[in-house]
Amino acid sequence: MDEGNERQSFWEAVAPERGVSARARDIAKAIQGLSQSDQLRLKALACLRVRGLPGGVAWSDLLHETILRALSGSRSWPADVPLLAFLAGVMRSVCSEHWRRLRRERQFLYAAPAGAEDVDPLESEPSPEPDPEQALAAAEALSAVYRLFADDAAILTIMSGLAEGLTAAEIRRRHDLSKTDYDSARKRLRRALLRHGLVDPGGSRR
Amino acid sequence: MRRWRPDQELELLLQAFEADILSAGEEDLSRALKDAGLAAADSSLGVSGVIRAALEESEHPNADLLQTLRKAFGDDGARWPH
Repeated sequence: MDEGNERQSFWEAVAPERGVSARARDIAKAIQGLSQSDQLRLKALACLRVRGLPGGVAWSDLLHETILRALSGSRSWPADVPLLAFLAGVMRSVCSEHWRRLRRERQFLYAAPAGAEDVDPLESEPSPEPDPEQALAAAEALSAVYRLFADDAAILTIMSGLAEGLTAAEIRRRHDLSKTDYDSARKRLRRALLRHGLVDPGGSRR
Repeated sequence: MRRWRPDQELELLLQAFEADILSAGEEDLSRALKDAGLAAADSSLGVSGVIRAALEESEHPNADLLQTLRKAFGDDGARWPH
């Protein structure tokens, strides 16, 4: 064995490199090929999702983790789903996992009920109820989003309907909104979301 | 009485907003950038940096660790405590 191979094998034994699958290469290629507009949409998505997480998580951290997760192959990319929609789904899953991990860490640190010695909090299933911190973060995020549109009654009406899971037709019917008024308010909402999404919620324009 | 679940309400709203962002056209994007006082190139710059870093990390997840080890113990691992 020559010296170069010996050196490489020594360090590879200490910290082996990970192989990249063909599917991961396809995803990487597609991500590298994103247009400038799609990159902006991706940033707006990350800025939007990071609002629901506890403080200290930056949009760039969320996006970084999302791309790593997409490339890890742990979630398949269906052929008929556009890349951005796929990444949005992965991002959603990263956020959910963030909360699950926090909850488990807290259970591990603080919750040691008598007689629970045999229960491993890292293995146990989380409760379907949100913990108080997640509920508070969600309430604060909701409040911040509603504040953004405090001056626009039509948008507030639409948002309250969306938050109840109503469709566009149901919102229009319930609040007697014409299609034109609804579409026009929805367009203002979309542009405001993009405007706020393109500026980092933390204030910096990274 | 149904208990208020802000997390579920927020999730529904975020999913609707996601759909809005995914379907936003070029005109919406340009208008939003203009309103925010940004140029598309400035704003997407941060995104391409994040993408580049994530792709590099995915291909070479141990690159930082290897560099640290090489610095500490030499390129050939001669100073590694056997």
